[in-house]
Amino acid sequence: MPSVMVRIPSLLAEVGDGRKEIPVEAGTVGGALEALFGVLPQLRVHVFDETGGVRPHVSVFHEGRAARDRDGLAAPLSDGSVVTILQAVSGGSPASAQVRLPVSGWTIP
Amino acid sequence: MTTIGVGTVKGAFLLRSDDRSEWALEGPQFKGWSVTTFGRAPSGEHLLATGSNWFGAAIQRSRDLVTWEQIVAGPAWPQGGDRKLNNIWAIGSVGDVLFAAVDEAGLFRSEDGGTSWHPVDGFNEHPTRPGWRPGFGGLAAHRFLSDSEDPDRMWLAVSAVGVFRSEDGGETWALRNDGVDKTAPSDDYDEIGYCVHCIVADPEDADTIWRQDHSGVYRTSDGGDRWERIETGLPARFGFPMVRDDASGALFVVPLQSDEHRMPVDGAFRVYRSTDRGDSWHVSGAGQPEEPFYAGVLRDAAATDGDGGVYLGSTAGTVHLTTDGGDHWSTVPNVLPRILSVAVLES
Repeated sequence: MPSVMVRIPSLLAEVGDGRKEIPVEAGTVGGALEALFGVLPQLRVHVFDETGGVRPHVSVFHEGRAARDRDGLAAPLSDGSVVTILQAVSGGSPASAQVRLPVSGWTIP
Repeated sequence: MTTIGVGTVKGAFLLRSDDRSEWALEGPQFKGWSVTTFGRAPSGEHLLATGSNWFGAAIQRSRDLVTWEQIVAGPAWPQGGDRKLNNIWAIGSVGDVLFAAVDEAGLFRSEDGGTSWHPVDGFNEHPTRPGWRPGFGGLAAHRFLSDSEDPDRMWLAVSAVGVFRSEDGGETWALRNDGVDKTAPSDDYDEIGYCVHCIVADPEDADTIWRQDHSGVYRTSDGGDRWERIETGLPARFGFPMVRDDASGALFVVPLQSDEHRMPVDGAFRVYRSTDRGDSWHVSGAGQPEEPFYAGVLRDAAATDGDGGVYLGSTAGTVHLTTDGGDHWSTVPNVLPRILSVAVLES
């Protein structure tokens, strides 16, 4: 079984054991996540939601590609592979919704 | 030692004091996580709920407020269903049984000190559930009360739905909101549509409950069968938190100008106190902010210690406290992130 590294964000390390890199042995991306949950079972609910899939605002990356569906999670790993869990960048507002507020000033006594 | 837990949108902070005069700030713990409520297990273990828009909600527990572990099998909706566990808003207990009230509205119970949790189907599958709709703050079950003399009697508050009462240990639940103005009426279920924000029990008489509702401030003297308005002296009827100082029996609310504005009236942040069981309200003592202050206090961001201590956390991240039942107030100098929850953890 390949030796791989799972990298997790600070928020998950906070509720894990403090480590942001957890070495596991796994043959697929999904297998690496399961191996991670074997070490830190509390992280499962933070990566997967009630649908059984990866949470909508969580990304799992391997070799620069997001693994979200069944095929992505089945992607094979090799020795030295890195699987990275990230909180997705989402949100923002369209330019049309941006409002320039009037400038005001004040004096600190 | 008095220890106050302050849950913010970016972690938990602890305020500690030996004399309730000089305070030291510790934290944050769970940096980056919302800390939505605090609780206590029958064993004495401390509990708190964490939440995140990215990573969902869970319950953490600790014996010493220093080292925490997440409960692996926490409250959860079934896999494959259409309900989401968005936040855990209240953790309470009846005897040796723990209850957790959550958004998306639900109630879960634990009989092993919080290690495993099971859905309370009598509430979660209530016949009116198809008509439940989320309010601005979500579809949240958020306040849980029980009768200390009859453990089968309990009350549960749900935003935009109403107050439920159970007489049989949670097997069945009935809506109890007569006398309260509806703010979210349903076309299909006449008995729902009440946006309750907070309920507070009288420890000496479980049938007396005070209520800060979207539509005003109320009191019941018969366990919720009938509610009456109690707003004499208040500058506005809207607000979120409501607490009772068990030492004096005084009640406290923080009125906000209407559901549209949700700010202190005219920028005057004022805690109001009632010393006559809600019949009338007056500005509580001295020492409240004198400069314009346009933040409010959320539902769970108020707590009492049973000895004249009242602790409030604002959406601006400020903590306001009194230790003499509301005669004199002071503001902690630290400014924290937006505060969601305040609890007395040790006193």
